[in-house]
Amino acid sequence: MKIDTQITKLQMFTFLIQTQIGVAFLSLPHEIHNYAKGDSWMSLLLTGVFMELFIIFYILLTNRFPKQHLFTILESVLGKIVGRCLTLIYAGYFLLTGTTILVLFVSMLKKWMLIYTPYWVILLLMVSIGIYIATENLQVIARFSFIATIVILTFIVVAPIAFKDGNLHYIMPVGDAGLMNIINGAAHATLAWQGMELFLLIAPFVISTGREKMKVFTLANLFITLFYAFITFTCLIYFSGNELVLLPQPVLYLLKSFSFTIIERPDLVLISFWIILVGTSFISYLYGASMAGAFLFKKWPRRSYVYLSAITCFVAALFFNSVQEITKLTKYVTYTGLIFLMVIPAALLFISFLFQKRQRGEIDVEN
Amino acid sequence: MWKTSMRFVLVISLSVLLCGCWDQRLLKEQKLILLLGYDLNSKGEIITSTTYPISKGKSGTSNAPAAPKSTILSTSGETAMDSLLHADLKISERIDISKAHVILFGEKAARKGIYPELDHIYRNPKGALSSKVAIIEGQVIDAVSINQEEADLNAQYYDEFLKSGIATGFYTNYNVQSVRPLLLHHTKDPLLPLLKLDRKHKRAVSVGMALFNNGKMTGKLSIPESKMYTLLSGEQKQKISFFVKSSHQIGKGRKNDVVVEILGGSQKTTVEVKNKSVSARISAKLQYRVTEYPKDQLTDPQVMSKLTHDIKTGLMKTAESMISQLQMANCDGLGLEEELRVHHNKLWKEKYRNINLREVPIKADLQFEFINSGIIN
Repeated sequence: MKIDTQITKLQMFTFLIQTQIGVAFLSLPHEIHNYAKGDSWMSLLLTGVFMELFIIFYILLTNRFPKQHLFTILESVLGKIVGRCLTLIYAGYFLLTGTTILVLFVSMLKKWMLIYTPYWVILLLMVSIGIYIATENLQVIARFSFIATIVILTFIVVAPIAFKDGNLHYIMPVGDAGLMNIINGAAHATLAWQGMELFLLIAPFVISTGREKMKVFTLANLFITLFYAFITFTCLIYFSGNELVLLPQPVLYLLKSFSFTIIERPDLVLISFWIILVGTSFISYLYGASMAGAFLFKKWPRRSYVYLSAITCFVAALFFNSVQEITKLTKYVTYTGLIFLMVIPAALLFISFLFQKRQRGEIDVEN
Repeated sequence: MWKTSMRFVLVISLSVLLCGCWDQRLLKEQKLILLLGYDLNSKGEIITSTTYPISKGKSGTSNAPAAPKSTILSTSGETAMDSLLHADLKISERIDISKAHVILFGEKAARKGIYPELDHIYRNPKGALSSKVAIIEGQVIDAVSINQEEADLNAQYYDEFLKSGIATGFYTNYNVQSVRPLLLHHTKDPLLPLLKLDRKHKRAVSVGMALFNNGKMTGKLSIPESKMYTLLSGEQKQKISFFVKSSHQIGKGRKNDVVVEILGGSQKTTVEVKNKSVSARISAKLQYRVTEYPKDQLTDPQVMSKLTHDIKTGLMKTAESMISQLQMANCDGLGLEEELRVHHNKLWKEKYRNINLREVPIKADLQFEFINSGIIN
């Protein structure tokens, strides 16, 4: 039976990829290139394989608690007080990530498109889109993710135009960067996978068995990995190494250098598309933060927490303007992200194995 | 009720916010610079010459639309952008270079390096990355202010001029973006179109290509050498014609020189390493057809074999002089260092970073295959 708060497997797939593909991917080739040079594409494939390990962890964890989401799992495994404290910290983390998304989004847009538009106006527009969709139930959010997936396809279709002017010599000799640098690059790519942790929140609402979830999750990871590797590969063969060091957003620069008869600046069109990708990521984090709020204080409906978290993100984002502050913020978020993406779920799984904790009885969660 | 009124407020406020008044650029408030030229003056300052179209009100009673006219502005400054800021002081509207078609460099400026002048274009989100780059022998201001008769606007004229040069095979096809890796990534050097002005006949004339080394102009190629370069670098493999002087002049009345057009072929650059010393070989197999041979009778095998020999020696000579020009300018247009970096990485790191081409023997090896002689024998 399908209730209107449940989502299908396809919706889960699109929700996951939309949450993960957001702000970071435009600058990904540049970031990884700092470490792995011409072999950056291998780093990304490596990260994908590594992330698959955590997908297994996530699935094992949700299989032990098939009807529970992250916050109730926290409570069941760690007890009421610790669980609730961690839920609060999770809410803080979601808000921090949401803020980072906003800050990076606005700074990018101010650089590429709206140089003279005030900071807060762009911010307000994005936040209002976030509120508009995140107040709805999970099904609506997932449906929006599904529609927005077309945007990712346009990136896949447009990027290969660069192959015409590409030079394979730029990535040769393959393996020149050395194994350590490739691994180092792979370690720094994990931020691009951030958003995976939201699976733990939506897992009980997906209509499928654990095995099917595993399949869908793996497919989503495969898609993300190949997408990132493909985009990075394209940038690597289009720009020389010395050039890539100078370009913080190589993906946009790549699009900017094309010119068609009708569209002279395809980068502007694709930035508008990219805004949708950022929007879906932001919406997902608003959803996560409001879920945490609604779980902690059941007095008000989730909708009101969406407003609260959106306003928090908006105000917090107002404080970050300069490049240095943004770099600091991103660095901070990357490291905290690692904790919430990997350490906590792995620890939860470990503890639940150790103390033989699994779901008892029927618990029905709502969203 | 509250919900409806909230939505109403949202829609109203969004329509105000979304109009984006801060970043609007109205055409009526901008002067679109279409042609940009950089040169150096004796003080080492950069002179920027620009042309932009102006629209004056229709004169007289004629109903025909007035042909677009352009006007010229030349300013100087310490850097490229500085000189443009000075240009803004002299223009009635705001200056906008995002629609530039062609960027010209004076020879003097090019010899000092062209990357610094292009930096502001790369940095600007609206920068015109697809505009073409060419070098002018002499003063850029003369080229910008040329009073040519072939196109309405000078920018258009140079754009078409360079386009046809690329199609005929004596120019490389680089724009601002595609030349950038070669200016930064020193394992291959670019060659850019070189023009000069024939002021008497109000025309620009192609003189060949400018050779670069590490982003600075260091030499020149003549037209036949440029054609040979585009052929041997694999840039273009078709539609390139060569005039070959025959050594076997028969009689005095008729000349037996020949014009051939290359129809296609394959080309390969190989770098050989022996005892840690490098030598390069450029081999090409080219198919050609004869487009002019006033002596006729190309079916005669004896004539044919002599002619083939002449063509081969003639074009080999061109190839060799092209290579020696490249070596003299230390311009690695054939990408030998890149070849070395990719296939002999260790040796490249040890010894051949910033390779000195003068020390590398480069051999050309051309094979010709006769296809046809047009529609007569």
